Amino acid sequence: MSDARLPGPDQVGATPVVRISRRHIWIAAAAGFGLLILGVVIVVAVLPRVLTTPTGSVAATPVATTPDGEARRIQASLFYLADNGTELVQASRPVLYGATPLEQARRIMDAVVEPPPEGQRSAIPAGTTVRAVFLAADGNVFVDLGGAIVTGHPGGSLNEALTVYAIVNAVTVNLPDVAGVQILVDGKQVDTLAGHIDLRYPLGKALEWVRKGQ
Amino acid sequence: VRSAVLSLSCLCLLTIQLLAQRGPAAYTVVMPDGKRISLPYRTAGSVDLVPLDQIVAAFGLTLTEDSAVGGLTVRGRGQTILLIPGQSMASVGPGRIVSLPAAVQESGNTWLVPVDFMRLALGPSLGLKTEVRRSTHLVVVGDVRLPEITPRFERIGGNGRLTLEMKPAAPARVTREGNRLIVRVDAAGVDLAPATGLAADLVPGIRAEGTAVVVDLGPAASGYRVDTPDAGRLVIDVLAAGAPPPAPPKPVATDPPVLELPPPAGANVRTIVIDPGHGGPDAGVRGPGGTLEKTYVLDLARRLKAAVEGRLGLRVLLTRDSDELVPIDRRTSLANNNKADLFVSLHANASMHSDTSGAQVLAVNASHYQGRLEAARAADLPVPVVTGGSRAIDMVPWDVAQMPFADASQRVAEVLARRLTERKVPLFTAPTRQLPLRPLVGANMPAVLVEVGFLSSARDENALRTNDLATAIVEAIVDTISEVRRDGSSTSPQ
Repeated sequence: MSDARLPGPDQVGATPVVRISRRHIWIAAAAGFGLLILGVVIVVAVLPRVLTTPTGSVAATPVATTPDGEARRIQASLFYLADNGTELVQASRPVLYGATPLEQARRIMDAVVEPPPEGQRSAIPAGTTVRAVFLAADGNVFVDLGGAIVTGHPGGSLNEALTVYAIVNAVTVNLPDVAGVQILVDGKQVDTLAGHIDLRYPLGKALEWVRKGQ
Repeated sequence: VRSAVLSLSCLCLLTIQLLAQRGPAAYTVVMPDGKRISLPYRTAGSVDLVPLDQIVAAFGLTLTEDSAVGGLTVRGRGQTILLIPGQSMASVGPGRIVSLPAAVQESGNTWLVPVDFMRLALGPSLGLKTEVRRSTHLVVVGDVRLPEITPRFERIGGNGRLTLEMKPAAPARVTREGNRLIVRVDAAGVDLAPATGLAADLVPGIRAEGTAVVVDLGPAASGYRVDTPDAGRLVIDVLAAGAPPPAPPKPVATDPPVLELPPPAGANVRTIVIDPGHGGPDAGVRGPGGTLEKTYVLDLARRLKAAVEGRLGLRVLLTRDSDELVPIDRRTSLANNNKADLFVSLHANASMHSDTSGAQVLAVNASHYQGRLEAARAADLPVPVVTGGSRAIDMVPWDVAQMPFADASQRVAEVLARRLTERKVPLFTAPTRQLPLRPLVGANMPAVLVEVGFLSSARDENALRTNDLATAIVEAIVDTISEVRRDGSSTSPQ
């Protein structure tokens, strides 16, 4: 953040003799004042932004590739609406590989909001986007989604629970070290998506929503 | 140097401008003597926060900060109210704790409290009835008559009918001055809600002026007729030239009066809070035939209220009695502050599959909140005692107040599912279920959420619209309250 440089080894011991004139003092004072102003600007404008940007987040990272140049993928369990509309079904889907649990969580979430494969119905409203995914020190993952998940939601506690647990289960089933998942909307904590399911705290895996005996 | 000074002053100006843009949003507080005080507020989530020092000054009280216990004490007129920053409660007088819809918080060098602090803590402590009208940003203190007037305009034939609903009722007199009607209300002022559906030819405008409501008459208006079918309802028929005058308005059937019967021995259920879900901009589910969840459950709630009051003689409160969006925490705090014995939230369900149908009764899933409760208990929060010092109490955070009642709520849910079956209300494949339910978790009493059916299903929607099914649902809930009331154990906390 600073332009100040330490003298290199070639300069040490070869310090030229400098005559300090009044002009030099003025220049030094002016430069010092300039640096002070720069410092003030940094503290006021830049620092708060730097301090509030979470470090443990993934927005977009380069895709890992296999030796033959194809994007490396894992098989992940994703959850779609069952044909009866009242439970979830598990489906194995190729998802881009992530080098860290956080990166993997992001890849999984990207796949969760994608249009469903042929023959499946998504429990997530169309148009939902993933803004960011965060991993907290306590093992909880925070999934920040675009507002379409609220505005496009058809409502009802059943639909709402299916939407929420399609997300929570996708992250917790594929990443066993994740304790819970909290859904954020447009960067903010929300009470609910449609008025029923409490999203103020992270939610744990809930396999009772998944059809048995698949 | 000059440029540095310039850039610094620019920064200062920018800051001042940013601060200035935040204002000027204010509540008007009408004091018992009719004096009006402006109280700036800030909205945090769904709660309006107001500066405590200005409230204290308006009422001639004193505010002291107790650094030892980190509390704020409001004193005066022989009363003491204690607040703790970060906590959403107030200790009023000796040992009465009231929960507030949001925590007391610091902003700059002032303390902010939810505006409902005036209604829940300050008013009761000073013996002054205090009413907070959030829609018009008005706080009415004491017995000041300041009716809330809701105008409604409709066309009847060629004429127009303007109905002014006044809450509370106040005498009013109507006179004509040129092309305006002046409705003088015998009150300290009027609180006029925005008018909807006005017609430019008959009534182009309506506004409040002091203690009067001024109604502008349009070019087609030739005469008027005034009726007061009920106390609190003033009907002005604006007559158009040539059109036959409409029939006079009929009085509206009012709810049956609350029966204040002494509870029978052993009965521990006295107050029921019914919560019609959603409201206002949040319509909830929309059925294929156009039925809106918010409207359906409000109608059902009103029927249920009349049935429980009339047949069981219990006190029934509705969390909303109009098409408005009441914040969830305000709904449960209404129940908590009125020491309700049962909280029943009414909703309608939706499924992506149009054949999914049936009613379901939901209760809170306690395991989801266990961590939150343990964290709060581990903190072992000392509570300042009014007489000085502090003591540690076993506390349940207000936002998970439902926790100790989770089992009792599940028992009520099971009774209700059985009673619905007995009344031949079709049930969903899972008749009861426990979920982390936001509408119930703040209720400090047994609480259930009834999904009356799936509005996403045309079959359910049509059935719910029939009087038979709506009556059966109301009867099943009345049966449940009656059973729970007999079997007192099912409403006790763990």
